[in-house]
Amino acid sequence: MTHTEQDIIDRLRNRDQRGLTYFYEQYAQALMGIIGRIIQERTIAEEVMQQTLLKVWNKIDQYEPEKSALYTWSSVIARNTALDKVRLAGYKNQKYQEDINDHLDANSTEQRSGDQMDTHKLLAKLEVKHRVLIEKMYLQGYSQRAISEEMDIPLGTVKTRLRSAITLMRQELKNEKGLFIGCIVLLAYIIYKLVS
Amino acid sequence: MTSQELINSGLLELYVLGQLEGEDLTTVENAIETDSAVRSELREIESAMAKFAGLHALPVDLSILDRALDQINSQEGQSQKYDRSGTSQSRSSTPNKTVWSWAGPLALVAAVIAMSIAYIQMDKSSKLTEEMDAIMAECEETQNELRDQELLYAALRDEGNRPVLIEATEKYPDTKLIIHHNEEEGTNYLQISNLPQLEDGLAFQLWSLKGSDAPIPLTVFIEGDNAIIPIDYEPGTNAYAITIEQAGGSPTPNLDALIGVFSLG
Repeated sequence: MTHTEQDIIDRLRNRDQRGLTYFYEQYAQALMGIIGRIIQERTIAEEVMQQTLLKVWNKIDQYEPEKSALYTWSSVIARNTALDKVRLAGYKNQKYQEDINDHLDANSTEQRSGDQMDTHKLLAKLEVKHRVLIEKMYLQGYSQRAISEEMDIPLGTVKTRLRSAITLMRQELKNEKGLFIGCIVLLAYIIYKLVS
Repeated sequence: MTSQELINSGLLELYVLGQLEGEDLTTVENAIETDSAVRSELREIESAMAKFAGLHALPVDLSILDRALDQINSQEGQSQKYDRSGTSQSRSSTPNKTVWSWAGPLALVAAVIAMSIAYIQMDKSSKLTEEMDAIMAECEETQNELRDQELLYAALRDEGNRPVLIEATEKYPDTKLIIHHNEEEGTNYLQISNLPQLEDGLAFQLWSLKGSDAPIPLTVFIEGDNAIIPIDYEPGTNAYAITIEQAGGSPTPNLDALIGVFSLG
């Protein structure tokens, strides 16, 4: 069952633990997608997930809905908690590994809906430099400076390339959505013609 | 910085990634509060990134949520935990604390019910024991009666038994009594077939007559018809007599109420 963001926020603010359960049902898998790519040891990733839930619960009064969506706010918490864990444990911020990527893709494929599969196809249309940038910054918590050093590009370029990557992705999503709506309209038109 | 310049700067994307700080962060936050175009653009970026995250989602174990809730309950000192068993993803393998929180009162109720049942059973058992004791006493009484009957019939069948028919007086002509006299055994049984009706406060009394001696008072009885009862045996008795006397018997017979005489002659 899907709960509205406002319902979840209200419950969390009212210290209703169902709010955390609904939050978990709605966002935990996506947050784990971030945590699991920063920390690839599952037990530690789960520990970070647990800490993230506690922070969401404890800091909900600091959350300002007008400044960001609940998921955006919690994704920053999840990412920073995972990065803190890496720093604390002296882990090396592991690079995106192809075998892990395959593993994660295999897992996530089972979870995907048809709509998500379409999104995956859309992402495949992005240039590698754009896709990798999004994945590293959004999923693996790379800072602008770390990206700049690793990809050997100026700091300012990181910012504009990220902007370009996300804009392209949004555009593809819009196109896909437009295509879907167009198909529906066309189908409705055909049915109308057949009936009349 | 104008709205469009801010949108094109890439700062909003970094804001969504949580990578802004200092002056840039303040700039973006102020713009979000005041500029609807910036706010709209931010929502678009957030939506796109949420979809991107959904694409890269990883499966999670529900035990993580259970542990988090346990920790929350622990830190907040709550004794009762929200039961999420009704939620769609409930697959928890940890014990359900809500169920356990009901276990105490349920156990108490069960104990009270059990004790009540035990009390009722004990009460029933006590009544049954009393009933059984009464039946046992009745059985014992019946056994004694049977034994007496056996002894009686044995006495009546004894070779030394000598039935003696009463010689009823004119006042009580319908009286029919037999004394079973056994001199060898020293026993007497009175077989009652028909006796006069007794008034209240009166009883029958047996007397032993020996020659010219004063009558000797013997058994006092009130049994009615169709009975055989043991009566006193007095050695050397020539005859027995029966009278009606005051209840409890008299030292001397009331000859006006003489029913009859058994001559052993």
